[in-house]
Amino acid sequence: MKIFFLLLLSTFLLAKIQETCYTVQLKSFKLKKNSTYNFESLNYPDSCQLIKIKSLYTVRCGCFTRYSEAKREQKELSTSYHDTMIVKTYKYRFKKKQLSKAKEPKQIKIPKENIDIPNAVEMQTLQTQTKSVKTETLSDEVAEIADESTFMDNMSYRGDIDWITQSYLIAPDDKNPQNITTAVNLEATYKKDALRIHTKIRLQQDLNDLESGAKDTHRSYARIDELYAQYEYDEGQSLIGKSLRFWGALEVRNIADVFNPYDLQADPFYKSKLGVINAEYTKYTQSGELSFIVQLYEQAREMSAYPYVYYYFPQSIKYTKDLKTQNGQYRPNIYVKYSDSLDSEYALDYNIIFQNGYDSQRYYTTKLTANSEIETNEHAYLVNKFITYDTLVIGATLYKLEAIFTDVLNNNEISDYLHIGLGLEHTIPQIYKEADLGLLAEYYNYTTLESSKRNDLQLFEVFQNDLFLGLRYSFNEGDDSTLIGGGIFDLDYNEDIYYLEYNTRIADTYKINFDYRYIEPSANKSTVFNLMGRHQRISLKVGYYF
Amino acid sequence: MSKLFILLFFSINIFAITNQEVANKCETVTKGFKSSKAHMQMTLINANKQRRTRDMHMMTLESDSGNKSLMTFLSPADVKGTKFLNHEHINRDDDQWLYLPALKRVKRIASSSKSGSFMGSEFSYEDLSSFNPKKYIFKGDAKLGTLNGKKVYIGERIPKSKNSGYTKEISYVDAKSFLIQKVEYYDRKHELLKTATFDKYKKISGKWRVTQMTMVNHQNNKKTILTWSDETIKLHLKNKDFNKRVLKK
Repeated sequence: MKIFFLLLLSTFLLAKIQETCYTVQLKSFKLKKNSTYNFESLNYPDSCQLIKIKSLYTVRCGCFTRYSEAKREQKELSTSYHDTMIVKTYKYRFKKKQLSKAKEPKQIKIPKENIDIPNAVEMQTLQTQTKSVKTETLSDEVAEIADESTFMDNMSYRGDIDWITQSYLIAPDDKNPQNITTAVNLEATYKKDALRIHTKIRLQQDLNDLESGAKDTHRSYARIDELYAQYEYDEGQSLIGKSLRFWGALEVRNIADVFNPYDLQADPFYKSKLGVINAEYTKYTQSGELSFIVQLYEQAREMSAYPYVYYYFPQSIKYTKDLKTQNGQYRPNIYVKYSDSLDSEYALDYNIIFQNGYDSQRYYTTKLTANSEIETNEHAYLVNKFITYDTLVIGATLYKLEAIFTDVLNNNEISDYLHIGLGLEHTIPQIYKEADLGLLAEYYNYTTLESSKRNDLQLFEVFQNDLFLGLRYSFNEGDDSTLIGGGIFDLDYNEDIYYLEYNTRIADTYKINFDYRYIEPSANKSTVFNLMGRHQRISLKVGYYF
Repeated sequence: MSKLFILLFFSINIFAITNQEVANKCETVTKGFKSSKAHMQMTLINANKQRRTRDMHMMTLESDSGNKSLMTFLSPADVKGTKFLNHEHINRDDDQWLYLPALKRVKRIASSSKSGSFMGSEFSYEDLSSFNPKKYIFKGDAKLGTLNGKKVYIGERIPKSKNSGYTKEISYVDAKSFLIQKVEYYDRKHELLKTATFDKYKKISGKWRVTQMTMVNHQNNKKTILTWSDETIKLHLKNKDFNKRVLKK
């Protein structure tokens, strides 16, 4: 079923791509009321059409599937026409032209010639006027088509299809030594005036899941991560729906990024998050903004299953998607957030957040079922939380801070805690030809304030006293190629992670990501990595973007 | 005889023009667009003449204290929706932010590396910033010369910023229109690094705007062509249209 859905979406996406084409625009202009533009008399090449959208006109030539074809056409046309450009548009507009081409006439008569300000616009075929359409009814027909194209022109799409393969050179016993995943991400946005409606859909299929049984990793799904409406006022904005947000300043771990729960079915190094149903009102200040956000529902999370390397429990413990909450899943989470920037010699971006509701940190309990299986599930508890994330710029160095203080409300298991992350990022420009070198250092500390309650190991907190040192080499050669590498060193439990990641673009359409990771877990402490087991992996991700 | 010499001396000084004056006039003829919107296409041409294009939508707000600009990337597809916000400052580093739509993240950028390549092109961030005479030191009079059959003023300017990638720049300015025609950039080793030619200008709503610019790097034989199209100016854009919060919209 999931495969079917995946194929269906892929087909839809490909169909969407096939609906558009590249065209060469020779000019665009606006006609004033009662003006005339005799397109026929100007002897444009046969491939060219006069097309209208709203009150603007464009002359565009050809409808090419490939950009390179449009480029060739542009090269030829450039000998006769200046300031040509290639734009992406919808095929259906050209089809309208073809339908009318068999009939005549094609001349457009709009009273009075007066060319106004040129502007880039999407297009609509005006050459559809046929003999059967009387001149006096043309304006009605145009208005009807204009409404249709307005909707389409207010829509925008983006997405990618990814093929990811991960091979574990050292894999924990009995866990899958390889996983191959196909993922599709699709975003669609409708924007008109102050209204914006946005959706983001993700589909994922792990090849191991096709073989049901022992190899099944529960990593295949179709889900809506975002579906919201946003309305902009002069002095603020409001939003309602399911959305993703990012709160943070650091590179490796964003401890302030508490709004969306992390996806436990995804590769933990890809930082995938789940959408959250919420309502927001933001009031703009002179340079900052004050937001009131209410999360309307606390959702339970799926988790990958045992044979997957990043399943966090032993094989004998089965995770169930059954979130236990202190006050019900509909108990709202309230956030008040203020963000601003200091415009001084040393630039500072700062953010302060207060939260009352369920903590992003969860704890797990186990129970023996009637079938003598051990099950575990998540518990969510209420907190008052104070969060800040800030970036200070001094010269070529960014100084970063993320910090949270959590006051746990009436819970016997969980202590109040502090979590702090400090970071710096210094860039050395043009270290070799055009390439820049970034030096990265981050330190994290997690402290529980009551020793009688669960500690960092029992709460699976990885960044409790950890140092990250890394380098980022940006080639700056047009394909945005970067090489990032570093190590994360646990200063308490003698646990190390090393990684090297290379990103580049091929043929302007494909993104390649290659990464190598080696995790040496603690030998004698029950850390997350100890539970998962020592492993070494290489990963290749090829993404097709449209 | 001495009267004739004095007359000749004054005549020379009356017709001479300083580099500072040329720069001020350059600024005057292009200043006053208030705000603009345009489509920007960047064509990267490598040493083997292979071409790649990048498309952007650009909004600019003119200000005496430094222009503000917002660039939205339209292609390649993987960076579609990425936004770059720049607040220029005359006497200190610019404020810069990058919005990454896949992560919903607004990231602050340290802008001190003005000499860094912009999107892998031969243009650096400082090449793309607005021309303001206050950013340079000018000395002496401009020389009169010819460029492509046009009379031009040829003058030297030295960037004030210690973070500039250049030790000096030689500008060629049309003697009639005071539009910049060409600039030669010298690197930190005082060697000719790049040449920018201002290929096309267009008068939009009474203001001259450059519509095509080519940057040739003499040291790596790469070239970048920037074209602006569908530009409109004096749009009543305001400071709030260039606030950090617009990145997420």
